[in-house]
Amino acid sequence: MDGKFFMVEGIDGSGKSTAVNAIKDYVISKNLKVLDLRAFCEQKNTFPDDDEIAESDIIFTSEPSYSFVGKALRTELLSDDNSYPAWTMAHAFALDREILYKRVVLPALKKNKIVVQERGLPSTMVYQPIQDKISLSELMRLPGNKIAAENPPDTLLILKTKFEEAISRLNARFSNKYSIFDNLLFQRKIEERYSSLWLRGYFEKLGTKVYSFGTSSPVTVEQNRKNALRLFQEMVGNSVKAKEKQTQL
Amino acid sequence: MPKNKFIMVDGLDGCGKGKAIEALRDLAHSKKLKTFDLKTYWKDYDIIPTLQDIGDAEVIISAEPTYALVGKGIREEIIKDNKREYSAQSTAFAFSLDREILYRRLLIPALKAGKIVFQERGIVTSIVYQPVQGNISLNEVINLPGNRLALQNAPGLVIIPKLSAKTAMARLKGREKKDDAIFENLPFQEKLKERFESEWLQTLLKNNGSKVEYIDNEHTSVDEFKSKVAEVVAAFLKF
Repeated sequence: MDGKFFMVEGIDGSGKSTAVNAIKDYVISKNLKVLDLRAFCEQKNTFPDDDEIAESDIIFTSEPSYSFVGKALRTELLSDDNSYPAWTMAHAFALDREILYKRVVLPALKKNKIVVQERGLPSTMVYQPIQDKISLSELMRLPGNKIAAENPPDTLLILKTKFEEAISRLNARFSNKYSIFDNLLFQRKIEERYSSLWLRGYFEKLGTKVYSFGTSSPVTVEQNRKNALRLFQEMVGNSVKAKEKQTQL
Repeated sequence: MPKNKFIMVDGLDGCGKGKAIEALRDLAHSKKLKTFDLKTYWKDYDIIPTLQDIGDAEVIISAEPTYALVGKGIREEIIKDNKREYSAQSTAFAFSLDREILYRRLLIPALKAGKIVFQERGIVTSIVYQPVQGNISLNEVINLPGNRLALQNAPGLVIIPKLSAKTAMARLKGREKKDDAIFENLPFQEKLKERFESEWLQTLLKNNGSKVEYIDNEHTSVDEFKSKVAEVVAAFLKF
């Protein structure tokens, strides 16, 4: 793989979008051609084809995705009104991942593109064994999860924030939908898993550079943006500058 | 008293499933029943409707894979003849997931409410196709969550049009609309035909409460075939 793959992880409200937006603003300022998968899927209700990937320099993706199985996850399977069985959820996440990787992420990396993704395999490894009581080894046998493990990110940024602070950020975004008492124990377990040595070790063994930054106060939004951008610049090295020149020519 | 008013039409590509469904739609209209056609609905909406969405229709005309969400992914990506390969296991997961959403959101509530459902393809397709496609056994297939749900709510009647794989392939070639699906080659279709007509399939379906009817579509005209389908279903529904 010649491209570069950057992944941002962390609980809801930990600042993933802020980190990704810092990178997005930067590459736009450098005249890179951005393919925003969410906007693309919402507009066309499908995934981009090879040509559309080839035309872009950098692709912003997220999991669950926004078409097909990803859309089913967001609109139906993860809806508060429904409770689908554990294995259904595990299959759905893995299948969405398999389609996203085969259709977008891997072709993009093969074509020397940069991919920046919010959430992915680490989310499955952190949440699903707790939420759905499916063992990690069973999860890792699912085809979509295998593909993701075979194609790990170059850089993995894990954002850590105090649960209480994440909740107040989410409430500001979703009009007080969340209660601080909701699943406090569950959230603590999730925090622990994101901070764990086994998770870091797993990805380091695959060759991923793993970084973990706090985003709770006194860390500011600006600092979160700066940290993410610095790691991104480290990952891409001179390639963004080179593209800048090409665009100017 | 039939188990439910759920009739599934399944069989080889090109065997006449579409014609059978046409006959059933005509049958419903001749009985002054209002139909709700999911394929038409899915041209405008990328969701699985709920019982509320179908309003006062007495008959739902359904199809699998669906054309929404996971079903759209199956049709446009997973079984499409593109350069990307999806294993039998992933394919089976996708069909089961699509099925689970369709059954939970619409079919189970609709059958409970006494609606009639005519469906093209479904759990029978998964049982027949997926274990011969590759790395998944029949036992694994029928134990996937969506498939278990579908067997618990198996159709009262399964209609399988019967004809040779050769004739079915020839009819497919004559069609304007091409599916571009990966399954359409003769040796594979012959294997499928054997499975569609096997004793074990009939036993499996009967054990889950389905009556199985094979209807000849090799030596008949289209009209004869359609009226035979309508006759069998009218008898089943006690029209």
